[in-house]
Amino acid sequence: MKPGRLRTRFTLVPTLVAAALIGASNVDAGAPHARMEVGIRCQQEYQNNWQLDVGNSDVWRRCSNFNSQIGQTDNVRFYFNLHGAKAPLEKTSDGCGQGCGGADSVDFLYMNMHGGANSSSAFFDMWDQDSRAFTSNMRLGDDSRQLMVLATFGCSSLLLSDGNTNIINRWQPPFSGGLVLTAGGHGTLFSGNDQSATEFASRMQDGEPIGQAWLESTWYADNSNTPTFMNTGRDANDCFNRSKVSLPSLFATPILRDSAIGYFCWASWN
Amino acid sequence: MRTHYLAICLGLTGCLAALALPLVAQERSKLASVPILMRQREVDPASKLALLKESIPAAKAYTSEPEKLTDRIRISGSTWRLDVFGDGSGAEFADADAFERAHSSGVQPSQAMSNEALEASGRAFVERTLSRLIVLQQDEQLVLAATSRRTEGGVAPGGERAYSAVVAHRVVFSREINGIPVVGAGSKVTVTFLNDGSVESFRYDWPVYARTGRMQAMAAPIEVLHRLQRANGVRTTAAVDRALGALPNLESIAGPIKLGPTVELQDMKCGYYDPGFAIRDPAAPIQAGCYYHLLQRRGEGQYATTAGYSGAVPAAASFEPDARWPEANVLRGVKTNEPKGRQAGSSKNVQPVPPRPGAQGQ
Repeated sequence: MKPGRLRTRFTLVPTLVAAALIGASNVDAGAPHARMEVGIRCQQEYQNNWQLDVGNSDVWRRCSNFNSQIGQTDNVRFYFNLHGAKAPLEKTSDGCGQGCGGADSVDFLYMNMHGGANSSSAFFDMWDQDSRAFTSNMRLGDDSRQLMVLATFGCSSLLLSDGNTNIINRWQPPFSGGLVLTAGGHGTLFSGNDQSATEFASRMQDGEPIGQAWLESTWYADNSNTPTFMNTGRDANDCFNRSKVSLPSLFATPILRDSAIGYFCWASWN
Repeated sequence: MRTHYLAICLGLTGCLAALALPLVAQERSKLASVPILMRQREVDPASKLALLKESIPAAKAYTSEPEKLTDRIRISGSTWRLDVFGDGSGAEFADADAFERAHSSGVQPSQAMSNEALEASGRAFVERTLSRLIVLQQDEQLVLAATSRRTEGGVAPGGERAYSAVVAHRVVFSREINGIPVVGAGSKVTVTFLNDGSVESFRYDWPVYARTGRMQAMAAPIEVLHRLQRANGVRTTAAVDRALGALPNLESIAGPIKLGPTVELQDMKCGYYDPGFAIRDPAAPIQAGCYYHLLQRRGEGQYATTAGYSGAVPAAASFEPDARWPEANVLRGVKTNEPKGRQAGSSKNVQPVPPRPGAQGQ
């Protein structure tokens, strides 16, 4: 193994397989991984001020930072705002392609906007007044490029405090399409330190598990952040093993859809 | 020393510990100004790396030259990584083997390490492993800043086999200088332990500070709160203004306070503001500032959302420019522009979506 790479034992074999099959990308600090198709969708201000502008261009800076860093190793196919984005994020139109910013048109989708959760769905606020994309209307990973990772810097989308039934209500629909992992917050994620996006991408490029990279970069940006990630498995053991998925092992991760999903698992910093 | 802390500790959670101590009004006015500091530039990150290497068993046997990356130097093995950032004042160690063990060593919350035990373990680790890097000057103290737990959970789709465990613990220490805390990500040491006591990771940002010879007078507490409102675009009301104006001092606030009809200041801690190596301007001075968390609510019922804001506002009556301090820029009227996301469908060069390599459904 080339010196200077942090790589978990879990990721080593798929790394070599993927690199050999597809051709590796690299960056000065990067563990080799096959290039992903990446999409970015973010929103700072909202139509008629129906939602809050967190100010200081925080959202645009965070998303630009992610764009700059992940773009060193992967193909960023779009960096779009969230004007009219409900349909391209929900199952009605998530396979609409990269030109319209469809969630399923990339391997990895990064978003930053306001979010929330109720007993039946997590939701992400669109630019359009009163428009929200609901996880209960999503089925991610079954169309087009088949999305594998959804990372959302927005509050409470991975709320954990209201019981397992509600957690399943909110996240079974998007995972049923084959989504491998989602990252978000079980409570507030604070605007302010937009370097968290650079560090998130950089840690993933180092071969760190995607979930761990999210937890570390988001928590270190502000110790009051509540980063969380969730994934699925055939059973509990498989779920916690799959929670270590990294960019080098991503494409070798078996896709689980519908009844193949036997367990949901998550990890978070409080 | 404690008097200084109280004088610029403008209230809320950061002051709670101080409230228990005797305080006379005239003491508080003694510290009308504080020195402006500079981060002293380190000169040899490689020597810092060598010191760290000697203290970490996994790294001790490493003999190759460090990898030179954009913002750090690195040595690593198959399951560990040691980075020294920038000028050498910050570093991070991560042990992937320990991360792998975290799940299997999970315990019920009732069996998890207490905060007292966590602090003691953290202090022992800093003393044992980092004592040549985390150097305290005569007027400095290492103080507990925060603790956190990493938890795991899971459940089957039908609600069976629910699982919950604490898998790791994190302790953060900070620095006080003459009793004045350093707020922000600078001057922090974070150690992460598994339940079995082994170290999963540590990270620090521990510069040497030097006095610039310049002093800055402190702003009135109410002015700091008004700055916080302005920097975050909070629309206040007459009732809120009256309530804020009626505060005898900010130390009297024991919990969240309203800054606007739907805006609450959750906490604020004041001291020297150092945002840390990742976001600070190396040439900028270390000035008085108040680090805050603020929540603004919008909507009601099942679609209510909460926006969280964190950052720092200048606490000096007149503060020096700092191009990387967003609130200071807003208050000074400096505008910044960032590339915004484009409208979907606006690109004329749209390629078909390539198939994912090896995509298979099950």
